[in-house]
Amino acid sequence: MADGRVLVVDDEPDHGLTVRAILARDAVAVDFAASPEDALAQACQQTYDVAILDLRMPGRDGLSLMHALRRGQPSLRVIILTAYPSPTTCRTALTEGASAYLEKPCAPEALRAMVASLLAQSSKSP
Amino acid sequence: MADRIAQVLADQIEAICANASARLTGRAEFAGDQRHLAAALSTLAAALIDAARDDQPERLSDAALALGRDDGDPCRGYGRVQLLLDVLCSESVEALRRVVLGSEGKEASARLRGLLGPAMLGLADLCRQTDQAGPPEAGAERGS
Amino acid sequence: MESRLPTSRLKPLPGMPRATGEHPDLRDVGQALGELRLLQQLNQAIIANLPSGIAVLDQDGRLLYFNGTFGRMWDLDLAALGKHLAEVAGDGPLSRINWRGEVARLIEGGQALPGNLLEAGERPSRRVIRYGLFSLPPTDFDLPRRLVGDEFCLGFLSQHECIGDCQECCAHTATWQGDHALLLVEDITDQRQLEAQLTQSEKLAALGQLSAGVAHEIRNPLSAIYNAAFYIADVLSDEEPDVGELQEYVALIQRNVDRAQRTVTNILNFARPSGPDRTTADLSDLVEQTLAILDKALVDQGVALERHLRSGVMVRCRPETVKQALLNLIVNALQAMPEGGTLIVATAREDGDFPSVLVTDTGSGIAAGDLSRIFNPFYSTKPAGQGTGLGLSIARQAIEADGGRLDVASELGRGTTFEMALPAAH
Repeated sequence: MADGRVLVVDDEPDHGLTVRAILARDAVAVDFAASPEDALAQACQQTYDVAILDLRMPGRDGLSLMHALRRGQPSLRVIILTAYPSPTTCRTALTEGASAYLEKPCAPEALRAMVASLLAQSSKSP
Repeated sequence: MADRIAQVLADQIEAICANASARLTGRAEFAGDQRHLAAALSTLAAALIDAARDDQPERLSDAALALGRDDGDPCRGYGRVQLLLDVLCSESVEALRRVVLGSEGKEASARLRGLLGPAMLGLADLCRQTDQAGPPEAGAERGS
Repeated sequence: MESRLPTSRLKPLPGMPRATGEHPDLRDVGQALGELRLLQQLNQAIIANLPSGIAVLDQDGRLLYFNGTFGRMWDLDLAALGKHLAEVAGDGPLSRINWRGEVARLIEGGQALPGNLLEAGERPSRRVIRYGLFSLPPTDFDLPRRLVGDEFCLGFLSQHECIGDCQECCAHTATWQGDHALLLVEDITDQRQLEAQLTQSEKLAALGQLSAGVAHEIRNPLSAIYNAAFYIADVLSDEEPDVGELQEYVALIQRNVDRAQRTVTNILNFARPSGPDRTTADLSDLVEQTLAILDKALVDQGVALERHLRSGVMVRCRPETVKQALLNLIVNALQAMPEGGTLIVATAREDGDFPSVLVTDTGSGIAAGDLSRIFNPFYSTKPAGQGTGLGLSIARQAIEADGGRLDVASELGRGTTFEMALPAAH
């Protein structure tokens, strides 16, 4: 399957673990960070193709983390996950540059498919 | 393989839609909207079969986008369409698994997901385009 | 005295002695009598139309007199006169008081005992009253009581002339001797019910404000469960599934079901209407149960929580009411710290008669001018449509109804501290 490395950031460890397990089924390398700080630290060590960011996290929200991660890795594709969906959140996330937006309870099949598509895009135009 | 997938899905389309409908009926997104749910599912299922047969993900994307536009503000309907696609696709994967076994089955599932991914990302694009202010980074995103 | 009576403006009443051509002194007496009669009519009209029950008790706690409202409140008729109040008051709140003792205490102390609350009876006929007992000057004469409609008229000057030998009056003449007490009773059952409803709707409004946190606490475990089920199904579809690691995801499902379940239980516990009765509760438990539904809101807002709670500090209160008041205080504190800060929740005065909880924020503080108004109903600093302005007002009322106190101190730029004190359970 597609090569690439994915970073899952969620302050809900159980949720992050399930996302990681599902994505790892496609032989994708997946790292997990339980906080925005951990995510930034890991992004210093690793280059990622796709990041899956929970929108609401203590300290720094997913969109702000997206901008921070992109400063180091401009071609990073981002999927925003949220447990508080609203049309405004959806529009904000997408116009600020997220590739996709998913509502929790998240659609695992759709997530898996999107990650595969984004990784394919990423390998074509790194 | 494309024809095989399309054939399996076409053979089981009623079961796929019935299973998906059963899963979605209980969701608040579709409460009291049975007819709309059934119609949307059958449209998407037909588009999925077309897309699989011709190996053209756009067929599914176009159908999904049409549903997204139906809601007026695609951002408002995003969650519903996302859910429809996810459940339809996972029921389709289940249907494939029953018939196509082993590594062939895995490949079939992956292909199906290959159709779903662009539809989901296309839906996100549609939401982005409807923003009046104009997205700062969306153009770069789409262009990549 | 005669010079102070505004004689000239009074019109003669029916039955009043004609003054013309009589001796000037007699004319004055006649006029004074007319005025007294007028005043008595006025008095009678007021007493008959008051929504409060009025009764006069002698020093033994026997009923000497009651107005129509009092009679209707406790279903009393003429036969109740001369009987001990506790005897005739059925199982209502009045039966719970030793009136003889109360009157004696009143007379000894010379102090009125106003504003006492009593609650008794079985639901749904449970009644809540507020009563006050006031001393009357000692007297020593007979006073006829006449029944007009369901209202007693006291004295010889009542509207219908009594010449002193009328059967109706004299049958009910009572000797007012020694000390008496005036008992005022207000039935506040409806008011209490309305307060309870208001508290309930405030509670739900507060829950509404927390709904984002609630959604988070339910959707996250649900999403993890959904994903785990998806993952397990996916692995099981393999030709030779590696089931070893699935155990971990089954445990994850169980753990997250428990978590969602706990959230629902917390909300239900919180939203449940208050029980009517005061009980003994551990003050720190009440605080912890309130914080349990607020945890996520704190984290979301970047507010650090400091707990200084000593367990085993027992108070008498209606626990649901106190939790509601605490929630109001904490939501207020969070709103005062939109940019984050520290919320300090501490028990204080733990060994005194009124142990308390302090809720302190490090927010913007409240200006001295506003501080006196924050407990006023409908006073709100929030934009219209956000918050009813009733939260703190209801909180204070509820705490005071439990015999406690709710106070505030604040310093602009430093923060605000609310202190909720409740009667200790001994």
